[in-house]
Amino acid sequence: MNEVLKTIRCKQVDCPIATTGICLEGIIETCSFKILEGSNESTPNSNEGNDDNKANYQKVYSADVLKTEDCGKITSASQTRLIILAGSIKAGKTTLLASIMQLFQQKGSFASFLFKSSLTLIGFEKRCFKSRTASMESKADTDRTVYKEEGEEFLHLQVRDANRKVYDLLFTDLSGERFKAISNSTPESKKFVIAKRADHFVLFIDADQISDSSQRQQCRISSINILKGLVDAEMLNPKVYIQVIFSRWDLLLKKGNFESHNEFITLLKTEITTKFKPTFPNLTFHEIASRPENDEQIAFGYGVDQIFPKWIDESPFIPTEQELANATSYKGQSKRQFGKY
Amino acid sequence: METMPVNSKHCLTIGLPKSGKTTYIAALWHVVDTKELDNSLQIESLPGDRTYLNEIRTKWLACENLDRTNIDAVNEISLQVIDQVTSKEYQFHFPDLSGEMFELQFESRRLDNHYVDKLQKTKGVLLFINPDKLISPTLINDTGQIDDAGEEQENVPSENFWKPKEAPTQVVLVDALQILGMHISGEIKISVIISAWDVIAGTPGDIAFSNKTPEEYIAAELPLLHAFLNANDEKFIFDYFGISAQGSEYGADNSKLQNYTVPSHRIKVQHKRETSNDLSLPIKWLLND
Repeated sequence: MNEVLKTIRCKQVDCPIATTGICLEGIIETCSFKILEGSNESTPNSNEGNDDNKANYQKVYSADVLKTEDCGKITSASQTRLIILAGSIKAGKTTLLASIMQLFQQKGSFASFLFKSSLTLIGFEKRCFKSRTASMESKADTDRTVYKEEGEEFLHLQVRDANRKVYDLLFTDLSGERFKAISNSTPESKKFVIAKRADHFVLFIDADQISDSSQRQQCRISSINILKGLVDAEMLNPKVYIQVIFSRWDLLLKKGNFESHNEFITLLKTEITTKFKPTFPNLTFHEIASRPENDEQIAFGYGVDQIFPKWIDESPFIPTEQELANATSYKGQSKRQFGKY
Repeated sequence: METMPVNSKHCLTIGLPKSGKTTYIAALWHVVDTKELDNSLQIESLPGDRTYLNEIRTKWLACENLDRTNIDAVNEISLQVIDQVTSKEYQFHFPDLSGEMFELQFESRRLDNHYVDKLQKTKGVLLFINPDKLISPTLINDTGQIDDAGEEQENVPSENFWKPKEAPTQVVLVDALQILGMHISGEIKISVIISAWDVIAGTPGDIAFSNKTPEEYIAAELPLLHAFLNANDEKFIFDYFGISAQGSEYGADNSKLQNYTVPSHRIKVQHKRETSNDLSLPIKWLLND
């Protein structure tokens, strides 16, 4: 959908740059395979290849997850919000992503935003699959995100608000194991350079575990340590918006004894506020139930409609009035290469 | 010397298998060729080769189901038509593309170069949706399935992974339109055609069509597609049509449909809240600037 993309082709058969703007090598500026429109160089799609199959077809965007190097084109072309979803294994990070796409598929607009496009439609579909009847599963589930030591994967969503303003959202989809490694090791935290570019850092705390006395302390420690690890490694911008989310809230409510659980949660909120709010003033708490289990009292996507607009409306990179007066500095910020953090 | 028509426009048909593309073309050919309807587009000059059009029209008249369009055989159709109301002439080119091609495109993430050529030339799209063939994103939790049903557990496939063929219809269509958007410059018109509209509108032969307009139907049943079009209105100009090219579902006894004195009268078309038999309406809308 980007006009700029049409001016570049590539000598490599598998490179999708002509259709998606995504450079196969991830080095669009310096790539030696790049051909600018109007040059005399040919591409494999000009029917010169020996392989008929390759000559007759051209690839389109994969529609699956994006790698870090794929995201630069999006971030440099539009107001993009990078939302990092962090938390332990099975805390509900991927389920939240699946639920957002499901809500757009059920309603078209969500939280007053219209679905405009996604470069990762298939990535979202894979994550939605096991919650749908098409999967033939008897119980809704989400596949575990595969652990990768390095590199990030992103899901993309483009939405339009009532004033026709368009926003790109990039969500990380990283495994709980990766965050465990981050909480255990400063070098691992240091590798997570993308955190510095985050508009929003969303820390998931599993309310199901918090409401289980045998698991709540471990859950508390491991969740706080993720944030602590990144803060100690100086990987978070003090202006970043941090949302601490008590996920799977429906499971907590089902257990009864709410007062006791809430007392623990209040203490936990106080602890997090005391430790982190002085450095990170944009810290808030939320409860969500992305995909409540056959719960008639809690709607699908409970609480998500409260957070989703924050991801769009709030960003440390939105210039203040003073910064707007000095437009040069903001212009420089908005063009920063995504992968250089 | 032959006079060239005022407007020459290339259009595309987009739709998944059995979405009603070929049936529409068969009935359209009958309408424009026979000039049975006063206000419809009418043929000005017969296409040189009418074999394919006449074959599918014969089956349409006999109320026979049409064969699936072969993925490897693209039937290029070019009609020189005149709009009876505006007296404007058009050369209208469009291929009868196989629905499997769009399925394959979603799955393989590659485009046939011939299709890319058509994408780049196209000025309008007839987007077909069959309400009877929709795959909806239904949640397990919305069906009231029992979590611990042992019998159901046994039915779970051993390797249960996502398959492109199980993707909701609206996702596949949004993807096809995103690909279209990446290959065109400027605006493009899209006639969204809900085929088998009689399934939505009510019992066959009903004079009173459904209270639901075609757009309301899409907003309710394919909300992602509806939002996508609205949110991309700087690129896509669109309108919605409910069309029953067959007149009703074919069965063992099609005598009621076959007994129409004027076959074009068995066609039902709904645009907003107005109904007619004019099957060329979505094309007239595409052609008019």
